[in-house]
Amino acid sequence: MNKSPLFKNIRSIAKEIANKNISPIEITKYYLTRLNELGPDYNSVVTVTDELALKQAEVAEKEIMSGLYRGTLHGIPFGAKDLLATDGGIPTTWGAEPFRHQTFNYNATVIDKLCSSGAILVSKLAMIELAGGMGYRQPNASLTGPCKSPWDKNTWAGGSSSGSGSAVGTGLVPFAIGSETWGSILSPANNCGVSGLRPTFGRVSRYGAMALSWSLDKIGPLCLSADDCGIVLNQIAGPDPKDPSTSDKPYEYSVDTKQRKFKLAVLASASTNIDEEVADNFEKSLDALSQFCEIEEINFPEYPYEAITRTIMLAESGTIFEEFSSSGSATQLTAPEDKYGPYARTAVLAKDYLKALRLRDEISQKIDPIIAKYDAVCGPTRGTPASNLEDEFRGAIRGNAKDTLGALGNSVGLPAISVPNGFTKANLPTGIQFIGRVYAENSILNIANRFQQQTDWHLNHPPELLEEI
Amino acid sequence: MATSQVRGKTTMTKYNHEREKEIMWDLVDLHFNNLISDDQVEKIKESIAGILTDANEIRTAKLDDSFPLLNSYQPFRGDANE
Repeated sequence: MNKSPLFKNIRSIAKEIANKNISPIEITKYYLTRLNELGPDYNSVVTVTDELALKQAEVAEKEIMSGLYRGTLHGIPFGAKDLLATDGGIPTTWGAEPFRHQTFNYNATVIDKLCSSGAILVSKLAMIELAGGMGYRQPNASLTGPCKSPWDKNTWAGGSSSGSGSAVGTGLVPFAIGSETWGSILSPANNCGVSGLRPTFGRVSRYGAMALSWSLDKIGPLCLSADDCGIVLNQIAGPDPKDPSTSDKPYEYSVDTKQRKFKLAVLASASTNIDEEVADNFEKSLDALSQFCEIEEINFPEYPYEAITRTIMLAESGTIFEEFSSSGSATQLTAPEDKYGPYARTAVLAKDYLKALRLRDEISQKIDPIIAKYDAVCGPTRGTPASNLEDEFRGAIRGNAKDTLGALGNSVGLPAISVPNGFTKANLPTGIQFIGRVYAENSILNIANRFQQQTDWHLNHPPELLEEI
Repeated sequence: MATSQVRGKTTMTKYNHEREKEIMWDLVDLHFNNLISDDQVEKIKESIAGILTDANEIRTAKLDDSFPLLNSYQPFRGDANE
């Protein structure tokens, strides 16, 4: 292969494919080799889909050689979190031992949409068992073991879309699909030094995805840049009759070329109780952002945001996994706390769940006029960099700090993107998140794009991973 | 007809948290007794305590509008901001 695709953005790879400088078969074999060689070192891969990938690559190659070029994702390999159903006998394990051999006879809508664009599925990627819904408190909560950050194999990739973040950050796939109920895209984006987009609730079909919480689950991309996230979202967004929660609002990714000044809000409590180095990097990011943003500090009305989101998640997951829990299957899970995790949620009362839903509705009405004055609200993605693989944590998302932005954004269904914004002295990446109004993905993508034009954090990759294999 | 008497001093607006934890543990134990090992009991009780702390925050949070006696609230997930 003349030009290595390693750590190149989607537009660069697409250009080489469209110009026939790289063939889909070559590029697919390139990533299959990396997945097979490096995936086990990082515990980031569940199944390498060699056979399917090579078949899809052959089709893509024939189409492109005959002049049928489907668009930017044609011939580009990708990985999918292993909670997305895939047919053809490829296991969909949900990251959990009891489902190790589970298969489906259909594809999740997001898989079908990507494959119909000519993208090539090369791998099902590791995840926290049952998307973290059993209450895990440690990285070793997956049938594939603790997934590792590209930046230090002794640290955690984040979760629950662990493999999606790690595989992108280690150059095993050009992009990946993850899912988020509360923090599961943004946390691995932070820990792995990649860009991760959580779309608006209802923007992307969840059909064929494991349900953890019907009213909170979202599916989105993890990529090397915000621009890549926009390109992937453009393909996977849209209504789906198989998922009634999807919105029929049209989406088209568009890059803002006007170089306009954005209005950005910072939550006053954003840096409270977070790691000093994370706070420093956030402050430096605000300096960079001030070159093209007006920045104001804001406060949100007082609500028990975390209690609301947690109660909704526990009530819904308790119902979803009732049969699983009653059957005793949880005892086969990996993390000791997951083995009994589902039982306590029997204590969530219907009246508390319903009041949490009412509070959520009220919050969405009150928050929108506040954030409507801005293009985005920003804050540090996580309160800490990646934790050590052996460390236990109180909460997977913020450590011991409050996660107001995450709890609020996920309960109300606001879109958010996390992009790298620096490193700690231990050379671990940190992230900054931008949250927008519902359906305002383009606003947050364009701010993140501009931030990545001003900075080069997203262009840093671990030196040992730059060597070709 | 004899006048009925109230059975105690606690009400749903004046929670007896310790009692509620005990009742919830009994409920969880009733559902999953055959699946819970001895070493998990205290950890599950901690989880119940966390759930009830959240519940208390939700119960004491003030909704702006009074309880809708009219059938105006629909507890389904909609496009709140449309």
